[in-house]
Amino acid sequence: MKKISVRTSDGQEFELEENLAMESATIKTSLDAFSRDDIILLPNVNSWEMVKIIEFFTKVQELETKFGVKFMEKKEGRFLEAFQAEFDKDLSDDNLYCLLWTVDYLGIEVLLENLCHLMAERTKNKTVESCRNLFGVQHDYTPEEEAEIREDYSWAFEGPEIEE
Amino acid sequence: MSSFRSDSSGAAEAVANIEDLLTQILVSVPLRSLARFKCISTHWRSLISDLHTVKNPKISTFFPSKFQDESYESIPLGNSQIPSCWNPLKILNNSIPDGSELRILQSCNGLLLCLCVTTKERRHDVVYVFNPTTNQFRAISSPRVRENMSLSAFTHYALAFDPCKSPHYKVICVSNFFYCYDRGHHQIDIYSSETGEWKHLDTPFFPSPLHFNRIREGAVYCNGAVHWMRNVGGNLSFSDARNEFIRHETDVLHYFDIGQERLGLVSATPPIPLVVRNIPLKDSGKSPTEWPTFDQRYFGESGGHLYLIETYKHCKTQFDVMEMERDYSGWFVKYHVDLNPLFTALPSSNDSVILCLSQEKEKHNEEDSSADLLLHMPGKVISYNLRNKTFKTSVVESANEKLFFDIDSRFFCSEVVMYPYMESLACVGR
Repeated sequence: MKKISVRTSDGQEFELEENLAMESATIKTSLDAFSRDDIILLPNVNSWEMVKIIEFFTKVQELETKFGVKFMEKKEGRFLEAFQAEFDKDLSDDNLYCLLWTVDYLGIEVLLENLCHLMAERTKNKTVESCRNLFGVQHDYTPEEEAEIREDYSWAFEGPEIEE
Repeated sequence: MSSFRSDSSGAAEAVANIEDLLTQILVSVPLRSLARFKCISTHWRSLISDLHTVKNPKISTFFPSKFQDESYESIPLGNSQIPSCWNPLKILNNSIPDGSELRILQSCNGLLLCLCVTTKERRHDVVYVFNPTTNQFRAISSPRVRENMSLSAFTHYALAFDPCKSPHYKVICVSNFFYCYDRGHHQIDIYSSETGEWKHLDTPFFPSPLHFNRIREGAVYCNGAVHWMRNVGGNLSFSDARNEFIRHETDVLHYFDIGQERLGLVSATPPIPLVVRNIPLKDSGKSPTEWPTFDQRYFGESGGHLYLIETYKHCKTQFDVMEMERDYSGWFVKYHVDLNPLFTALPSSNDSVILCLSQEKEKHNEEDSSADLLLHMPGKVISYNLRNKTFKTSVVESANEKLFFDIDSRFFCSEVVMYPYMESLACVGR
């Protein structure tokens, strides 16, 4: 199997198997434009992110062998659970956001979906205010407008919330 | 390129600034959280409103139109986030007067239209517009009083709700109370959730009132109009002059155009189904060897088109999926379905109930949308792709499996219609 070399922003080089490298739409586009012998430069990718991505693909192959199913199919429930269990524990929030951005940049669909799901899990219990701060969103409601929405969806504001 | 690289706390902001990415994250956020996040900003509100819309229908559960006992159970699909104890109709039932029966008339883009039928003497019916996701409902008193109960009198309700066009909904009430064959006028009233009031329309005398009273309960909203199908199952006879099966009555479809506020009638006799045409003939073609018995009928909407399916008992595994032309010029056969391979692969069941048609729009290729047919078999819901002829099974968890046998057996007696429901945050109003 042909190996593709990539170099991350901090100068580190990685060798990826060709079929895995092709999972990244960005890398695939570069390969179509240039020779496979060239090293692909990824100035927007950190080395720790690349390590994580390779870890992901290794995990996928392990799970495929374990469950006997091709997990590159999207929305496979068991994979989602297994993935989340593995990746959730050693990925801090900040790292998750960085990785998400990078995977989106690289265009790795299946990993992106799983990371989005992970992020949704971590975000769902946040309060409205903490979300605004976290995502840097401009508060553009008048007090009356916001009060109206809160009343329309009063059922959603009852129950547990985590202030973060 | 990305300034957040030096400051990781800006990473979340960078992610949220990519709209496609934010949308992809929000799709996995449970509805309760999404409702709260609508308060974050006007931009987030519109993003969230677009998530669960007609463009991305995600059918999560099926409600039967009638409930045998007070259980009010529904059939949830495996992909939904609905917990097994979810029973929203029970909550609605607690709000209606004692001795009343709740019936679902229609499911429309995330809202249900329910009718409260009382055994007691009650002059005004009450309809409920209900969102099972949020458990909110609005009780609307009918504008018509049930004055006389002649056999030809009727009242039909329909719900028109399209979240892509407007957050407001309308309820249409068409009624006619007249004695015997006295023709009378159709009374049409429209309720608007925006005004909270009924408006009466002055309509001219409608030429064929008798057709409207054999209406199958349950209107279908499609493309800005609500449609009513007649309750004539089969409607077949054999013509020995033409040596073939024919429909012995011209069928009609009633519809009410919301925008134009006009009641229309469409001559819509469906073609003879293939399984009926294929029945071998005897006596030199003068009579059929077998008489087709009508089994079940599906009338619904998917992807902006009306669909009709009729199945016959002598050949339950094959049927035609008919689509209505956009200009109402008639039904045409869109797919011939042969489920024999499906039943061969799943030998434990030989019967199925057609639940609905669902358009699956592929993310990357909008033109390539194909329809899935959802079928119910005991313990499972099958999603059958009409173009590829492939199927996916999802196991339906139910505390009471016998319940589905009951629903299905009542279904086959044409008493019960199954309504697909997709989760939504639509507001019914205070």
